[in-house]
Amino acid sequence: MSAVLELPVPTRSRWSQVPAVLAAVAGPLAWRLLWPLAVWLVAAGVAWVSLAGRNPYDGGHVDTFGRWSTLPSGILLLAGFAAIPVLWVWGARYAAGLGHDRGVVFAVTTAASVLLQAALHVVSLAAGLLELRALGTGGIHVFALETSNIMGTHDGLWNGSWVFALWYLTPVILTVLLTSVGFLRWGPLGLLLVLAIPAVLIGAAFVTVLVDTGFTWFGVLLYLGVLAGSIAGAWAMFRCVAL
Amino acid sequence: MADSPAIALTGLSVTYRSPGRDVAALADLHAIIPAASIVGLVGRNGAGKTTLLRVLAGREPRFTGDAHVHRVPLADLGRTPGLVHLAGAGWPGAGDRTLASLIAGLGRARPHFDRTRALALLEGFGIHPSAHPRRLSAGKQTAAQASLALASRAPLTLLDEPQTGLDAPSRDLLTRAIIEEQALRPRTWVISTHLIDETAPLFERVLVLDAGRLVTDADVDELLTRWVRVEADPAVLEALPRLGELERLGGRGSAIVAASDVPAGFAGRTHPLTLQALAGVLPLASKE
Repeated sequence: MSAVLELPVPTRSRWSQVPAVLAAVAGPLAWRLLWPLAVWLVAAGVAWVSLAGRNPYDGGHVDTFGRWSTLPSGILLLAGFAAIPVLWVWGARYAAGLGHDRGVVFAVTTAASVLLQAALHVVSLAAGLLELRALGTGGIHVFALETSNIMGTHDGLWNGSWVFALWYLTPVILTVLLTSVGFLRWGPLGLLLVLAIPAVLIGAAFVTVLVDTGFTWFGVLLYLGVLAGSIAGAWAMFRCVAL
Repeated sequence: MADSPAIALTGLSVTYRSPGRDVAALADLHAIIPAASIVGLVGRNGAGKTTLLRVLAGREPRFTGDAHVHRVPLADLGRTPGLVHLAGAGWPGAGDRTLASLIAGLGRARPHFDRTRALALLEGFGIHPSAHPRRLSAGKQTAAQASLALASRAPLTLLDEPQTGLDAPSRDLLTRAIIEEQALRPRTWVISTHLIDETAPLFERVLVLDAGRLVTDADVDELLTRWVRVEADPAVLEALPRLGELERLGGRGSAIVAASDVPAGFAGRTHPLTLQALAGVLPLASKE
């Protein structure tokens, strides 16, 4: 019994667990965060080979000066969304199973889910800008982000893509996040249930408010409200997930 | 910590809800488990053993009632990483992990985890740390889980059927390792098992579950002296309050009775019971 006294109840501040939780969520060599980049590079290789051939790539854009493919950036976008369930279904469960605080696991996985999309966007944007700087508007561009009239200008890339990433992707990120946690909580039934509600509500709210009225205070407040509500709902589900 | 019980359960219940059918996995459990004791958790398949262990490990948050581990409410277990370790079937989300990677993760999460001990135990079971747990045989998976649990040095260590799939030498090795750990770093153990007689020498206390109810929570020695098997003329045994049925073989009868009910000058033979034999009939006592 005396030796038991030598084993104090181990307590740790919540936030000191963050590095270990992040390591657990990200997996060996952070593969759960990095795999979208591998997919993106493969897609870029395929696009380059396609555009370099005699027949222009069907999905690309060919103009007077060069050939452009947005396929890799689109695939990176989708892979980023697909990484969210991977982070939750495997990473978050593993971290919580190790004994880490569920609140910290939730916060870290939520942050990773959201920030990963921004990080992938930065990478995609940087690759597009470097490609543009190196090749000008001629040649083969496989990291193009836009096919609209902003293509080919640095300012256009910066402004257009960030608005896209920050405002219009968030509902998708939250929907994928919520459905992932719903799946953990209730299985396939939870996935379907949770998928339907935010997809309809958030999608409708953003399409009507943000697209029509742009940056208004009402729109910003609605944005923050949906953000907070989604995260609170996800936490309510995640804290009751059986491991 | 030594003054407080390792486990305190008050009205603990778990109900699995599904459309049209609710299953009470645990029903109104009350128990106080002292610190630094080795507790056996026994019961038939589906009795609720694994559910109880998962609740105590914080892996099953859907419970009602009150439960504390070393005064820490179960809801706050995450703030005390390393307080509880459960070794059972599967490790959530660890499909991409080698044992070495798991050991590294546990070392980061649990302050008392002893990596050297974990590696030594794995070596003892003939398991290489570069192995992926899922690619091991069933017995080796069990041994690997138990090795990590022993090395966790968690004040409450939970082993869910740690002999499953183990051969006799490995079971012996595991038993010796538990005894060694308890001598080195005394802690509280809850060990569920179906190989009761083989594990019983470890147990100081036993909890018997039946259909989610806790039918017995007793000191093992006291329990084994409380009941005896008696053999005598069936007519004599008919008059005694029995636990279970009166078995008849030839002209003799045999029954389990309370030792205190055996009359002085009893015209028959009495035999001590094993824990396994007793565990099988104790649920009947709670129903009678």
